[in-house]
Amino acid sequence: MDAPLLALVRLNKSFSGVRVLKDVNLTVRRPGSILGLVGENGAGKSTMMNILGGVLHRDSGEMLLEGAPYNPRSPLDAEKAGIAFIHQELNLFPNMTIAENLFLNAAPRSRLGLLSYGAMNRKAREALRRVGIDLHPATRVEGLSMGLRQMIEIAKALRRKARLVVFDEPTTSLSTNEKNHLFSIIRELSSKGISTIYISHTLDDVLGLCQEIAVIRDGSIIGQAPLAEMTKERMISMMVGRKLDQLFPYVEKKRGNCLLRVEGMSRASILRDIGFSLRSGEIVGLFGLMGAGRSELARAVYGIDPVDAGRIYFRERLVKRPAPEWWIENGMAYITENRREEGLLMPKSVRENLVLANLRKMALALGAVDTRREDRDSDLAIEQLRIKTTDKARQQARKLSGGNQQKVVIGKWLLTNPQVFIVDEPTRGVDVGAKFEIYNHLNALAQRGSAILFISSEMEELIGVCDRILVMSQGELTGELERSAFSQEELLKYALGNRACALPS
Amino acid sequence: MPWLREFNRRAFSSVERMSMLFFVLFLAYSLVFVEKFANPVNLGNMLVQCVDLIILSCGMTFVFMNGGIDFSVTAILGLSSILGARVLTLGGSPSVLVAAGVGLMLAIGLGVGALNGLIVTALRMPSFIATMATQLIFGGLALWYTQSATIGDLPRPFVQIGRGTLLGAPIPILIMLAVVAGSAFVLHRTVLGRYIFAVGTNHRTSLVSGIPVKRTVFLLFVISGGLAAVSSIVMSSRSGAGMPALGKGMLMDIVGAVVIGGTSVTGGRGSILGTATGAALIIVLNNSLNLLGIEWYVINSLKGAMIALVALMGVMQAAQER
Amino acid sequence: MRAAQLTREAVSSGFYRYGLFTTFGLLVIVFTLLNRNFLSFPNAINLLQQTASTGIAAAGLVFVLVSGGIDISMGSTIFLSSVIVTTLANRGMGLVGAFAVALGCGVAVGVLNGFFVAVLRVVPLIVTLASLYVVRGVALALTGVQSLFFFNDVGEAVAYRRLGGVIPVVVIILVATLLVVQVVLSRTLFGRQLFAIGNNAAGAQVMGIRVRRNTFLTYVISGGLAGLAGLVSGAQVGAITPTFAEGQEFIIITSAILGGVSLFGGKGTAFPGAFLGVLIVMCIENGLVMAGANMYLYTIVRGVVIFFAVMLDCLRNTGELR
Repeated sequence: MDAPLLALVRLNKSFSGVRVLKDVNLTVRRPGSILGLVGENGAGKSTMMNILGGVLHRDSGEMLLEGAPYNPRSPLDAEKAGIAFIHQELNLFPNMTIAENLFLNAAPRSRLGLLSYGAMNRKAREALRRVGIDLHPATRVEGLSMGLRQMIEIAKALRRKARLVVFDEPTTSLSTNEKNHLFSIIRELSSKGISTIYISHTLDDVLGLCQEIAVIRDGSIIGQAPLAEMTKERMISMMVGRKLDQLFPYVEKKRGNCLLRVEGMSRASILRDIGFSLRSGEIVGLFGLMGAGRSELARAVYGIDPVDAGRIYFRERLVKRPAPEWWIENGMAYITENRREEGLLMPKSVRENLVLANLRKMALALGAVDTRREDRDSDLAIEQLRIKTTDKARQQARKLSGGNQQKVVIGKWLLTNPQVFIVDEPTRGVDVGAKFEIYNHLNALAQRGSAILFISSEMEELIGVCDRILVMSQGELTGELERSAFSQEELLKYALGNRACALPS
Repeated sequence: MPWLREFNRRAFSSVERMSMLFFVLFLAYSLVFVEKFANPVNLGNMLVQCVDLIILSCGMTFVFMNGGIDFSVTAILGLSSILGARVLTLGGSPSVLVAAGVGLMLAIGLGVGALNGLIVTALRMPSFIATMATQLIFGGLALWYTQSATIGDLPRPFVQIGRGTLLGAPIPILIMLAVVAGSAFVLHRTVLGRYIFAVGTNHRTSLVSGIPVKRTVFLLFVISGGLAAVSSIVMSSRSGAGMPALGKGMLMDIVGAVVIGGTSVTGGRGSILGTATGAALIIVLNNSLNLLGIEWYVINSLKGAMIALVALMGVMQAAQER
Repeated sequence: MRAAQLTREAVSSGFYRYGLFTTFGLLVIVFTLLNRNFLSFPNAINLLQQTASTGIAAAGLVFVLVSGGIDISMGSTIFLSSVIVTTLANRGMGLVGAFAVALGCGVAVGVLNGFFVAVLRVVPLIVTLASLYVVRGVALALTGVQSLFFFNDVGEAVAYRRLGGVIPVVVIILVATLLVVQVVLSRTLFGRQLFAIGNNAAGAQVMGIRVRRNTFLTYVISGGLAGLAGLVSGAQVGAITPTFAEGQEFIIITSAILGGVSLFGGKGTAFPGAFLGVLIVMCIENGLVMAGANMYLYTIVRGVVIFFAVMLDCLRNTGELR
């Protein structure tokens, strides 16, 4: 039998001692195969694709393209080898036309050695026709929809003689028509011998398009099987079939008044009529897959992003114009997903970071900063959260470990004494020990009467720690589970978009 | 002495340390080897120049903290000087005139600064071009107002500001010390100062942490404008005349003082003490090299090169820390 | 808030699509009404002759702006090259040789700027600000701060000669430069890549575009064309004072931005864009002359024009808050 088009053999990769890929085996059998890849967030899909694409280097294992070793040292190597990636963030330049985008690295020239727009446009037209688009190649990318832009990316890939195209969550911003068009293009490519790896959360799509499906979980490929052997239930159970043997600290708390209530929050294509409430003393999880809109919801509530509609009630009083300053003043904290860019001042000291959200309250006469309080407060936070820092006044935040960085962010917010906490992926990139400390802190806060909205992609921690879990999918709230009804399959089903049960009122 | 060690460590980053060192060395060299440098009249002149430059560069430091620049300070100098002089020579009770004159000059500085701040925060115009535009407009206004003529014969109480003494010390020196102390206080010891450092480091984190980013950036330009007006008061009173072209050619020295003093051109890092050191260094350089017979334009070239090299050092330092 | 944003977008995109031409058209009409000679051939040619050096330098600046950078050192480079050409020509070097050396000096300045910006990664504003002073200093050192006079007859002939007795050589050089620059921008891979870099430098890097090399080259071209501009204006002016071309970079930048080249990168054309921008600026200046405007009004008007030009740019494209 011929060698498979692509074989990943026992790929391993670790980051800071954490094993992200464990002996990954993946095969694209023959030219023209369409292989689906499904898995939860953090399962290792991106890392695997980054290694395939030459962005990251594997620790061990082999990659073979048609039997020959494949060792890309940069994305250009991957491109030369005929592997193209269609990422979610498309690499198109909106200020230029379609044709110009297609020909940025090499272009047809006229006799004088100058670019020949005639030839460029002609070839661009051809390329666009191959993906079934009938746009004029001199159209600027600026005004085009995501679906069209994606097609242009595919056209780009085809021009580079790609033999394998990897799609990463391609349908999140597509209309149904655009999606069907994409599928027909992929099938056409398949018939012409160009293979596809299709990564997606929309299991129905994967079942409808792919010939083989692989499921990845916690860094390993659980299984790769032909379509006939796969069903939705089987996929779900493979995706979640982990043993919940880790003990998560859960404590009983007294539920009190409703502290935060959101109604009808909507924003163009990102949020659709979201409503929920948080009561004092509860930890409410918010689960969903990437692109579900969870962080967008939090940012909308917090006032960082604009909204089209929605009402927010804090302690049963309408909040007219939510803004970070107002929330901090009134007792709500938001720990963002992205600590490097929005949570910390990386080049500044631990102490400066810890007091950052509370500076307003540290003013003495003439606006002078109460430096003793700065010291006291930051010492308190360091002690309470057990932040490991050599010198709080001089060590830069960027020199800390991920776990400690996250603790600094949490510490910063704790100092503002909030009643409501929205935490977005608080344990991402954090070592196990620190994770547990964070859970304990959240529990302690809830026990003291705070309400916590715990946004996470890690099912186990939500199941372990929360009182109830809300699930979002594609901008909508699709489900809610009480602790007694927690189940991995149910959560994933809601996250994938099934409204299996009616929403609780 | 722990506080001295703390002081040394806290007040100076490596760029500032080098500037301070260079300043001390060059000053020592000049005092010993450069003829006429140690002459008391010369030293007195340098002190005067220091006063002016330090006040102006303190203001500029604030704008640099957010990675911006303020080209309009020279225009503020000229405009407030000439309009202030006009008010001061209106005729009437001197104390009223002085109060009105000084008030107007400050108002002009704060007003132009506020305009700059508004343009940068509301229109999101890059500060270099916004202040370039205001410099042309208001500098042009100043020159147009008197067609380049100066207005002399300023009332005595006003002139006293620039030439008088208080408690044994020349008033301009006291003003300078007040400005330095006040600026250092605001930047390093107040909540606003903490905001400035945060905003200059990362806008998004600051926003999420509840810091009023736009208001902080706006204030930077107001401060710069206000201090330019203070400098104008000192300079005009000392010379006894309102001059529409006051401050012409000072921009390079101001930027030089801030950059060489260790303030990062990309924002988030800086110190008033560093700027003051940088200003003193520039004045000594100007003076000493001049006495050594080096032409002014060569000195300018040297200063320009120094600015670029120090900025480069800043880049390298930042890269190293990563 | 949405309504405001939508009107903003409509106004700015409308202006840019038709605004340039209509503005220019309007200006021509207004000035012709004021002075019938305005649209006459001799006057038009005269105007073009005056705009030649600004236009050539603006063409070079377009490269830098499109790729997202900035260069405020052009005035000094123009000065340097005109000084070199005059000095060498007066000393008897053949005109071709003198031109070549002067051009080479412009390129050298560009290489220096490009090196600091692209290789050493220092902020372009500070690098070119430093060059502004350093280069002028070097040029002044060469002239000994004297005014230079262009004695060479052949040079004069070149400056004033007209092709077919009608079109001045400098105008031909101007138009040729703009066209060549536009061709490079729109019809070479290098040019297109600059647009990509200006829009998203990181994304361009990922795509394999050599960002550093290309950025370096933009400064080299800008320096070289500023050198050419210096040749043209030096030959025309006849007497080069020590402050020659001081502040010309403002006019060059204004012309480019008025011509639709965005300060934020990724957008713009040399022809017709920058060309029209230069013409509009020259019309305004010419209009002021014809109106007999007070000489100090010029700076004010220039400031206002820069402000509006950039404001439109800011409405259309957003940048950071600095």
